[in-house]
Amino acid sequence: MIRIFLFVIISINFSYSQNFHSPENKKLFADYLFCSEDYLRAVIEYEEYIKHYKNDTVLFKIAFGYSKIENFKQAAELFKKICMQSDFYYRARSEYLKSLLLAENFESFTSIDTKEASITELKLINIAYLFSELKLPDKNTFLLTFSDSEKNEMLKFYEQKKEPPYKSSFLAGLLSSVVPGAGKIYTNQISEGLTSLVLNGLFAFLSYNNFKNDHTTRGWIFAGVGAFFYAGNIYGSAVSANIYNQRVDYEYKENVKLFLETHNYFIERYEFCK
Amino acid sequence: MKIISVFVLLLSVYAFPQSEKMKWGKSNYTYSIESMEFGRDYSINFENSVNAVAKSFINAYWFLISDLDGDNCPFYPSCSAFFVDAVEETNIVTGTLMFFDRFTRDASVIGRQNRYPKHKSGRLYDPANLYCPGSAAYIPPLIVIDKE
Amino acid sequence: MSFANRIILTIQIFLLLSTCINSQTEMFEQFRYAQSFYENENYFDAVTEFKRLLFFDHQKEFQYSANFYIADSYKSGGMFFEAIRYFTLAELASRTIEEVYICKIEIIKLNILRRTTERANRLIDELLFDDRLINKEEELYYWKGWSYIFSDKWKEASDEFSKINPDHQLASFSQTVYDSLYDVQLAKVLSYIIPGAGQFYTGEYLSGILSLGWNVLWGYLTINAFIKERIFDGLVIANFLWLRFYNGNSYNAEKFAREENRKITNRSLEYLQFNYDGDKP
Repeated sequence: MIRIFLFVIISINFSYSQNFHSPENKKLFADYLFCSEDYLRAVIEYEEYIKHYKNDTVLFKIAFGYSKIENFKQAAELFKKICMQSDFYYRARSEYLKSLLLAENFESFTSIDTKEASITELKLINIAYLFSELKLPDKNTFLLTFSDSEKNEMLKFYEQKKEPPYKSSFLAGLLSSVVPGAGKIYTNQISEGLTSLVLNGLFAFLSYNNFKNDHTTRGWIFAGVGAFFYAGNIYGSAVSANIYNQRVDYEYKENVKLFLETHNYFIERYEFCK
Repeated sequence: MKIISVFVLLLSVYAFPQSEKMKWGKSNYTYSIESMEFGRDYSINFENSVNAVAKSFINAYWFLISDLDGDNCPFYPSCSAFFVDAVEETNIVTGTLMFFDRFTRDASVIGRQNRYPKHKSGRLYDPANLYCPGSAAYIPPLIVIDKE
Repeated sequence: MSFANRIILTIQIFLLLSTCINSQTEMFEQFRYAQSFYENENYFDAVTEFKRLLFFDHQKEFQYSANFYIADSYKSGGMFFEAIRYFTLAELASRTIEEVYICKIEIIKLNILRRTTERANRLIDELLFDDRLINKEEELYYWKGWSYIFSDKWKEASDEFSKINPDHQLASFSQTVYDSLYDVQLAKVLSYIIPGAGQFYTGEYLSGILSLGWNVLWGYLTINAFIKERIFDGLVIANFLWLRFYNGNSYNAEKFAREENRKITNRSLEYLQFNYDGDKP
């Protein structure tokens, strides 16, 4: 009887005197942190854990955590290391490509062997063409990997990449030299184009009017200022076309990113926390 | 380089300030209030005589006129500071053309508030380097830029 | 006794009792371990260790104190949003009205620091109406004073501190600051009456003289033009030059007064932050 009583007391004591910093407990704690989206602390705890035990899930979760805290370079390196025997091998390969995309490391895409690649990987490799300066593949091979619901959108992206709707700096400058402000209207700066037309018209009129009334000095001053407005507008129109093109690029990339995020980079969602 | 710095800047503005992406330490926050007024840089660079002459005129204009006739420029940097930057970054001819182009932007009032990024002082952010031949760049509008 | 001391004392008594009863030495050791990070100003790791304590605290003995420490660590790291979140969690886990009160005061202090003054004042008013906290009135007036200091209302701040004690150190300090501030409206009106006078009032003599000069010049040219019946020239000069410099002059007077006030305020805030010994947010 006394023995049983002692045993109970000892076991109670034992359960209380657990070591919170043992690898097993670190993993439990890290799982909790991971699921409450505190990825940085989860990664630190998991890294302590795998010093003692090998665990494929934990390796994958570390890499995933790095990707969540936007350290894509580290994430890519770790995803690459996950070996073939792991349950997460194919998932890690897709995540590796996603991390490369987000780290804007497009160089690495050229060295990937496409023979063993899964559909998701092929899709992500194609996406890399849209972001980088690499030579675009043929339209049909590009579209082949995408499903019917994605094809429409991807075709739009492909065609915009092939022929971006840029405006020509030269044409903008030329238009503005013929009609002041026309180049700005051509690059969608309508309000500025009209203002430029009005300003140039105003100074031309003032100059003409003063010459007519024999105020030669004033005439020359207005003519001079007007000439600067005229030349400045030609320069501004040429730069404006350049800025317009950068805006096209910017919005294009934002759209592709939005598309990728809504499709979770073509990667099947996986629930670690239930 | 400038485009990159602007990009990093935008990131820092966009990123949720409270999220823990890396280890952090003690923060030395202060009780003070930040000033929204900007100072003038009166220094003259004598290496380039044309620029030095232009800068002296601008300095005189700032001291005798611009500082006394009220707050008339909706942009940050102001038109005269834009001219100084433009001349510094290119040359007197291109700088002058850029200045007259800026003046046209200054005069086109309609729908202006939605076309420019915002500086933290509440002005429209429109610095010279966005219009220089080599470094022309696009910043999406309505973003708040926290930069001197 | 300051808040921090009181908090630490209650936590320590509570811990002593809880460890005696449950013999949870491991839990207590973890608590001490986490505390050591906090005391060494290693706040990131302190948060981690307190979170670990919370995770293994199945008896929910440490919910209040650990959440409180986490919140305080976030506050020291300048992450006020997270700090408020964890103070609220500590408040939910508190067992006595005293503990609830301490958490609420911490949340109020964070709102003062963030300069979300309206929220701070609303929280203080709620506590003032609470019958169970009658004896806390003075402390609440004290924090309301601080809240006014951070929203640049030094007169109101002085009034709140006087409610505690007419000779309160901060009451006279706030009053002194209030008295040394420039009157922005006065500067503006002075410049409207005599161009440059507002600038003189704020000590910007050169700018004042230049403003006066321009206004006299354009005023003279305008009147001269009207006398010589060159009405169009007179209108142009009055509208585009005189009016511009006249408005600019009053704008400057206002700007200088505001900038001077900002400098005075920052000097006072700096003094309070680094040299004042009492409780501060």
